Amino acid sequence: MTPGLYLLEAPWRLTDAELQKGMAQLPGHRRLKAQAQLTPLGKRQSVSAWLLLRYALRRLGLVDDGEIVTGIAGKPAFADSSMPCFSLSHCRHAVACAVAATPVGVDVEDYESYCQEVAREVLSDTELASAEGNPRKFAELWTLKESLLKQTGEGLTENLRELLRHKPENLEFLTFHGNAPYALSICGIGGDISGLTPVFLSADELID
Amino acid sequence: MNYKIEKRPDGSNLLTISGRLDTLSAAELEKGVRPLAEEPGPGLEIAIPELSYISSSGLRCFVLLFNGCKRAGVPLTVTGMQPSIREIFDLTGFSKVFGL
Repeated sequence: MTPGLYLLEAPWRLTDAELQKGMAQLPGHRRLKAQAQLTPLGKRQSVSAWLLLRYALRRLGLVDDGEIVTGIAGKPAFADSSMPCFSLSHCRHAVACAVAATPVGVDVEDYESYCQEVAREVLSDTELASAEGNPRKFAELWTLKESLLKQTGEGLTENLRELLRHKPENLEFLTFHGNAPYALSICGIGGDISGLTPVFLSADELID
Repeated sequence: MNYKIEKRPDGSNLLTISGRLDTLSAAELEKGVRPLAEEPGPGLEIAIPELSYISSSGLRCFVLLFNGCKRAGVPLTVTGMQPSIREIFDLTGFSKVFGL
């Protein structure tokens, strides 16, 4: 199975008409979740994430009407194990969806989420040396850690500071910086995600 | 996961989060509390006596709110934490960030 990494940047740009049209195309359970979002941006992020997954599945000749189950840390997956693994993430500037044959974790983070106090607690000394006062680098490191946690689906079991140092040997990362101020990292089984490049999509390409 | 935002008579906000704040529900919470991070009022209390689980994505929501209060120069307090949640806050260093 060919893995994929799909992105919609600036989800807030979705017009009301696009939002309504996209909403109508979601599976029932997902539509309810999107409708329950209280903010306009939240609705757009929710709709966009699922439309990206639908797009990714269609590229593989699959449909998105399967039952979704969640793991111990809330990692969503298709109940049907013959379906691909997937991971979704969003921030203000982008929504991302990764699909692969084996477990995968993707995370996006705005540079503006930088927080010095948090950086000092969650980064190792080496990481902090490069990221303190550097929102771009902080976003990159945070997404690396978060994508690893999302890939394993195990949740927080150890100190975030040394998380990357203890990364299982068989996992690999790819990191990108978007056209807007955000970072994206994907974590997957080595070989499965090698050479993967993000595909940037527009609302027109996602909504039928 | 359930959450509720209440405005107090003094204008400050009370955010109550309960249940499991996992990867999936954290995405939902983040969307819901973003306006609160942008306009936290004169203060914000996050009450979590019935929060039973938190993932790293859940911690991200706390960072969002911490940053919002810091920008606005208003106090943020976290109250009513179960021991299992306190362990996660200690493990990740968030106890220090939130002055717990």
